[in-house]
Amino acid sequence: MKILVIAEQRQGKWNNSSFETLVAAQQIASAGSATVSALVIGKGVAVLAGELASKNVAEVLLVEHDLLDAYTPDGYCAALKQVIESAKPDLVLFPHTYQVRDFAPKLAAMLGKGMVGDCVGFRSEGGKLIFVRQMFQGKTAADVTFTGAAPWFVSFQSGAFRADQLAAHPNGKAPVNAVSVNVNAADIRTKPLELFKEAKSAVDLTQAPLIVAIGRGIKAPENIAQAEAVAKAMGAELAASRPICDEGWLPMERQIGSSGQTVAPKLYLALGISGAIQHVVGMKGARTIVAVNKDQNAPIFEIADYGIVADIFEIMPALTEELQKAKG
Amino acid sequence: MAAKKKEIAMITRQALGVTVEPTQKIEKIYVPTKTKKTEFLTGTPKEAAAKLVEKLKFEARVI
Repeated sequence: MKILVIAEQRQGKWNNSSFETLVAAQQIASAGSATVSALVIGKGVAVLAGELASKNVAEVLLVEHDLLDAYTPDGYCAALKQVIESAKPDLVLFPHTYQVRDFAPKLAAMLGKGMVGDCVGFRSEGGKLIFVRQMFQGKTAADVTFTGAAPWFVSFQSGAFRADQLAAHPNGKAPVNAVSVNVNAADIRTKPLELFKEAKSAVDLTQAPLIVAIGRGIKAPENIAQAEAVAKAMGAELAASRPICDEGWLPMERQIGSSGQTVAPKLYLALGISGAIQHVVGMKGARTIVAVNKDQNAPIFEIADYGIVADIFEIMPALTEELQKAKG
Repeated sequence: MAAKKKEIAMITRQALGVTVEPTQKIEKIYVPTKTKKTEFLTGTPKEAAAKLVEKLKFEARVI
């Protein structure tokens, strides 16, 4: 079986979930007999192709064109369709990024194929690949198989695989093969304008080793000071789930989740956060997760290492005190 | 009611000339098994907080 991983870059910078998907590919390959190729698409991305070649892959496909400099769904699909038709992979894997959500279903449809999106894992049973995806906001899971002929298209959720498990190339580097593609300006129906950041972040939560996050359980803005005290005693940054930022109780830049930031700190302390999937995708990569919630059935406990079923207003002052004591 | 007497038209896939076959199949839908073991800390708020700080400092070693 041939597996092709479509890695994602923007302006010469990797989207790190590309490497998680590469890990998924390596694991699928080792579960059966398969070869893994990786593909990078854009303009002036040969350096990135070289970087991919240092990983354990059979080959790296470099797809470059002037019209692929900035991402457009039409440009990417036109180019990738040609590559897939000539390279004939059985399985095409993507990281489930915003960009992939935009073009991958279109690409699959252009080839008359289906796509299983946002998978969280896979199993190999009797030579058959089964992909696991979440349904109903993660409350249920579904095993999905492909029934038609290859190629099959699959995207993996961010955080489903760990990029630090990526295997390096066993002896040096894999070959980088440039694939030329025909892309016509007339086929590209959208013109990307300048990229901009919605808000200038004063704080970079992705770099914070310790995070104390608050959710709806905090009840009122005047109570945030109590959570701030916990964060201060711990030396942590304060973050929040969406409702808190929607209310304007904390700035948007401190929002964690699918519409905020994705973080993977050493410690994530969730105070009064129920654990809706939109929040969980932004923090489940944390090494240690602590949840305090008065509802013992809150989904946040599903992913927590340590849990306290209690009123956060009783825990916060006690915890601040204990932390101060511990720091001496 | 007029709507009640209306004939319900049944249209088959074949009649529409749809020849596309499904490309995937949902084999099973289930409640995911929890992979993480959560250790619950109990006691009064003060006890639970003290236990947590202890765990974070010496077990998880993150603070």
